[in-house]
Amino acid sequence: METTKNTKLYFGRPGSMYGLISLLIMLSLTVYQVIMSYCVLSQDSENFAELLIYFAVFIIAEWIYYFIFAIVQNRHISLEMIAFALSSISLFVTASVSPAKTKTQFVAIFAGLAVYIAMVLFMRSTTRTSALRMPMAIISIALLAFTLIFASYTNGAKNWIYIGSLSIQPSEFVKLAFIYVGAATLDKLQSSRSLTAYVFFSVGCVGLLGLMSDFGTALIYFATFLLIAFLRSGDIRTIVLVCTAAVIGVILILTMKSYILNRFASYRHIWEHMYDSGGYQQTRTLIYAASGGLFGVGIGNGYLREIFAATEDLIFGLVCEELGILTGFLIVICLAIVCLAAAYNAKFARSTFFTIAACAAAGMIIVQTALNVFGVTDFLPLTGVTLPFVSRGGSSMICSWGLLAFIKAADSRSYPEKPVSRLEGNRK
Amino acid sequence: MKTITKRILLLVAVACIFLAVVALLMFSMLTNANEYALKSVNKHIYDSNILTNAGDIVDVNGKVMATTSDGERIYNESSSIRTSLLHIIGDDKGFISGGIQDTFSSELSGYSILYGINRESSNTLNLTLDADLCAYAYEQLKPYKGTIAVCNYKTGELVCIATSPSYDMYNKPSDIDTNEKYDGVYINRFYGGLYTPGSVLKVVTAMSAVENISDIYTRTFKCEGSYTLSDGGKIVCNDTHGTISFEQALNRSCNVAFAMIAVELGEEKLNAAFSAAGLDKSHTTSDRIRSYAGSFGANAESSVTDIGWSGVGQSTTLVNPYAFLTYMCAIANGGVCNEPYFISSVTNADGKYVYRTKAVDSGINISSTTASTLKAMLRSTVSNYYGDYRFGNLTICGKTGTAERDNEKPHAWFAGFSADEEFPYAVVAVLENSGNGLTYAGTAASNVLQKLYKTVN
Repeated sequence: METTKNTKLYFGRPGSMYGLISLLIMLSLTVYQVIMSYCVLSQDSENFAELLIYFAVFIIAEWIYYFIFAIVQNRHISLEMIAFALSSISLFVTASVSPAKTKTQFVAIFAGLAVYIAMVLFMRSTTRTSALRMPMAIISIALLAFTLIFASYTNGAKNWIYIGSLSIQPSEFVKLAFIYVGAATLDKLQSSRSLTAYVFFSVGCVGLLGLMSDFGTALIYFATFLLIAFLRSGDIRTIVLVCTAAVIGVILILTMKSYILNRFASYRHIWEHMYDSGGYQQTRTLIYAASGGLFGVGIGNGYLREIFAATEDLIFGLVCEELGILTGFLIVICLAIVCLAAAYNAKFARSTFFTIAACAAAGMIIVQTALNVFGVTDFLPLTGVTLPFVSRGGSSMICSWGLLAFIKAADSRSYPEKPVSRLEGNRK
Repeated sequence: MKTITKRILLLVAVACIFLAVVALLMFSMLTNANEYALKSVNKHIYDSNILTNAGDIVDVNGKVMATTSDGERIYNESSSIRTSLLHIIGDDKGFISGGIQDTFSSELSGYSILYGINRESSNTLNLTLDADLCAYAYEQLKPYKGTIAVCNYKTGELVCIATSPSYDMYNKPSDIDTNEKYDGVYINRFYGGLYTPGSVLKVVTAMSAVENISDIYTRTFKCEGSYTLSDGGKIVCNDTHGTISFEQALNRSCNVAFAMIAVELGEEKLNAAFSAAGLDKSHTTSDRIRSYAGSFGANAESSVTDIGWSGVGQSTTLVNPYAFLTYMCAIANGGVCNEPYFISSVTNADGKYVYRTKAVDSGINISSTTASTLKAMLRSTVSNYYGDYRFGNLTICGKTGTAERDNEKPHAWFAGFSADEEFPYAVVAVLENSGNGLTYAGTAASNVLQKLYKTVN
């Protein structure tokens, strides 16, 4: 583990090669965002001033972040640049499709960024971080239980809580806690009591989500659980057993829930269900994504936006249609890069806690991306989950930034002034 | 820590699998993009299943057949042009399949995977057809069902296609689904019709005889009005021709002589000739239409009577008008010809080609000697028997057919071409249940050819 060497290799100031590339990426990102701003603003004279402020503040905030972290603190900020790029697309799309909801999305991005910075700072200390696991677990279970009791059904799932005009999806925040609780330092890893506690916690979470009929989210949790279980135990046989148990569970769910069964019934047969709920969204996604061609019909000129959940579940299709298939796939590839970066960071992490957390967070991002993108294109059954960073939605946006914080925290270069890995003594 | 580092590879594996599926998705989307984008629920090009975003379709003289204005598809102002070209242009409501607006919707809507839907479409599709001639030909078919088509046999360009029954899409008849005069109204009979050919098929039998019976020119046949075959079956002739030569037999369309020839040749050689004429296959044209495959009435299990009747174009033999016109083109053009087509190109607003027809070989390959022999015989059939006066003194080679039908009037056929190198056109005409081939189909074909002659000269 050559932390020191890596710290020297990567820094944010444009004096180095990496710093120069960062600056160039920042500049081209800004050019892209200015053009996008212009395109959206030119079509909406009604909300011109309001939207202009959001876009301008967003771009300025990006540069402030760049200045503080890349120039002053001399860190590389590639992950954040990806997150900024994807978040800005969600902002532009929201502004174009439903201008009234732009404010919420704008606030959500900044809340996400705040959560991100806070989490990265908080996780500087490993002891402090792992001490909070138990409270996190209790709060999570309580939050999900609360949701189950007090939420009302929205689109077949019972996962929204309304506080005044504010709607919150607690299962998104619990995702962060799920990883937080799942990750553990090496000494904890040896204790079977810790593992048993974690298994009970996971079963509790997934079970509650199942009761809420939030099948997609439950699936993401389950996949993340498998990843964490493997990282903790390294035992494929255990995983096989767990999978078998899960498959049986899924079959039970399928036999009981006609709504989910309906989704599965049209899988790979969406063109036969063009006019019913089984294939309506997927066929429209494919038709309009294709209509966009490689370069898109231009933001504001699409028709997928008229379809239900266009800026949430179907965002991939909407981006393909209006901004082009190339942009759509670039987003997906960016998310895969985040995942690979996590694997790289995890290797140099200061403690197993961060290794597991980073891998689990990356796994969660990739599974969610796969369920979203492959779901709307009929490569997988449609489960109705969001695309990290890009889908409209506050809870989802904040969760995406939170997940990114786990990946960032694993990177010892995020804390360059002291080579923590040696000090905290987790190398056993 | 070391062991956990190894376990990270699982995440890398997950990411790699993910990227592989993403690549697969991209491949799948790009290869199917055309099909997806042109679905009729796509509001970029359709509004409630009505095509709203498509370029102009113009005929050979630049007459606009269809255009788009303010999101509405507008067709030629003449009712007779709209009616006669209905099956070629297609409607915008999806009743007619195989129309240009269906088969070339991608080029018309300006869709390309690179640029997506062209929202200000200005592609223009150019036809080789003469709309006025098509309308005129449609009039010649009335009141019968059937089809007439004229093709330049040197190039393969179709200048006229008419198919009846049809309707004016602006005034769609209310009784279209109940009135029997509209039976099969949505079918383009030129490509989708299969008819008993009657005597036009004697050209195929003659072709086989020319190639397989060396002394055919010195033979004579005795026609006493009917002929009893070895299995007891009886071939009835249209006349009592007496003793006649091979050429005279074709001129006068003698069933007895041709049944004798057919039986002598046998079903194998006849089937081979039918196949060499391209009549047994479905032709895929550059216009993205597939013609129906015809079938010869006799096979290895057939009785002698069946072979005899098949050789004169009766029995269960079925022929498609498009395929037969192609065969005529080949005979006229020295044995080979291009697959006939009616779309020459699609150009964009800058006049650049988006699509350009490449002539496709029809696959028919008759020896040039056989072709010229047949040509001479078809010429003498018109000059000696039908009379050149019937064709306004055009130099026509041709053969009629009066395909007998059980309990209904016969189908009238005429297939032929102009021997004049300056006027290289072949024609096929079928008038269902009309009567005598020469009287009905021959007259209709002649009228259309003469009208065309006046237009080009």
